[in-house]
Amino acid sequence: MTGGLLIALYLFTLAGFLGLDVIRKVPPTLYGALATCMGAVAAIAVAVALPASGAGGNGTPVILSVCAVAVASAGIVSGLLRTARALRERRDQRR
Amino acid sequence: MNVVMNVATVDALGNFAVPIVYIASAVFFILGLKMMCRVRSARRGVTLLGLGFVLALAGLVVEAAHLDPKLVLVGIAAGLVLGLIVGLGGKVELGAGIAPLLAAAGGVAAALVAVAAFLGEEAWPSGGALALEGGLRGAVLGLAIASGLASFVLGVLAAMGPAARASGQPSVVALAASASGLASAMVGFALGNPIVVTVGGLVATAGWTLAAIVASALGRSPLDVALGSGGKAAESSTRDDYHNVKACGPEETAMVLENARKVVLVPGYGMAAAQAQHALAEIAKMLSLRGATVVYAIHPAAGLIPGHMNILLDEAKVPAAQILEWEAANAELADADVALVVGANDIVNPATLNDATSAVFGMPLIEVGRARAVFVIKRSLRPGAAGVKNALFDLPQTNMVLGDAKKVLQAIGVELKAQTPTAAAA
Repeated sequence: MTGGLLIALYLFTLAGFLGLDVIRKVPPTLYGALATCMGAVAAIAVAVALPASGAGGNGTPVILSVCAVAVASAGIVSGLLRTARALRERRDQRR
Repeated sequence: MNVVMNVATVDALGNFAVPIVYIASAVFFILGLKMMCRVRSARRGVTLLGLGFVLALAGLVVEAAHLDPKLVLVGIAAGLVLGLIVGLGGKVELGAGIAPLLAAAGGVAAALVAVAAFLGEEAWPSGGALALEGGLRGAVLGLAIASGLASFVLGVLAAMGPAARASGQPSVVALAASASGLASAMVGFALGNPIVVTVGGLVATAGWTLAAIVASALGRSPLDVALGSGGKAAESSTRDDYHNVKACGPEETAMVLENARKVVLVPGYGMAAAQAQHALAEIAKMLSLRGATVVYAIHPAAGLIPGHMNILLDEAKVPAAQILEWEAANAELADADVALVVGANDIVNPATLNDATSAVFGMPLIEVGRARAVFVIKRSLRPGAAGVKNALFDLPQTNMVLGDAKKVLQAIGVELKAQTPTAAAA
């Protein structure tokens, strides 16, 4: 069990440093879109965790997982659309 | 449907294929976020994020087969509809409303799961190889609830707090996403789900980094932006003077410059202060190599003393034929594609023409507003020597590139060089 915790801590630390490095020098045009997409990625992570937690099937986790999936889908779709629109607006301006 | 067979397939898939699919989706998320940091690759980045999302959903549907796949599909469908409404409605800026709240949703879901785990202990699986038990699990779940609550508070602050209508809003949204990521990582710890820990940890720090970048562009800390506190009073009041300011980075400036056929460069005191004349001359040279017409517009009052700009440009070996006085420059501006203002303020203020009450009224003006696109490189929105607001910054074709003139010009130069084969070889 402690071994499991250590593996998870190890992953968490490495992923954390990766996150620091992945994001750098973002242009202002993409601030909103990137923030939206990040929220969506966090939501899909929770959604992925939920089926396992609902193994007992006592109702609440099932409903929660459905809600989390819905929220993650909404976040990703709106993030994608927002990015596309932000870029299109820029291009129109350039013409 | 044959239930026994279904369960067997699900087990086989769940043991190996589903984790592989999750790892693939995590790779797509990382690459996608990386690509979204640049305008040129943002579209591809979004596509990769979408792919990662589809993969994660596919794995989720397989894993949730023992629940009710119909319910999961209903969840996906509801989310798609909500996403379409939120994504298509409103302005491109986040604005007040549901969009910023979505960033907190992951954290809220994580907190609810943790609460549900506390309430119904026996429903929680204890079989996972990495799952935590006992007091340790309780502590981790407590952390999940705390960070979930934090993300909810931040999401509400982003949606209707002081940041809701300010330019710092993406900073608060990113903070909410960061707290959501932390909450999901904690749930991942408790469940012993490595992929959730990884993606959660990634978003936790990536969100924090983005929040810091957005806030530092405003010269404040992310928390100050969220609470609407702190910051230099002068800074916020000058920001409030403007309502339509668009900021952009060196990359986008370069993207517009490289397609321009005629570019007018307008140096001012900021260029002298940053000693940016060499970086500017370098850009002018690369644009000429690309076939663009490049001229410098010199205002009689630019810099500290008359002739200040001419001395500096001469030092940077700018050909004299490219240097124009303000009246000749205004003629060129009429059909210019881009006007690039480098650290000048009062000499490009349209109030000199049309606002009789302004302190700068009647002064000669370099009419950069005639160009199709205007980029103003400037350290902040603070007024110049004359102490007046500059309506140029509010024009629809104006983009502010905030920063030190030399650093910004060098960054533009790097971008241009990457796109100009001849210059790279020279």
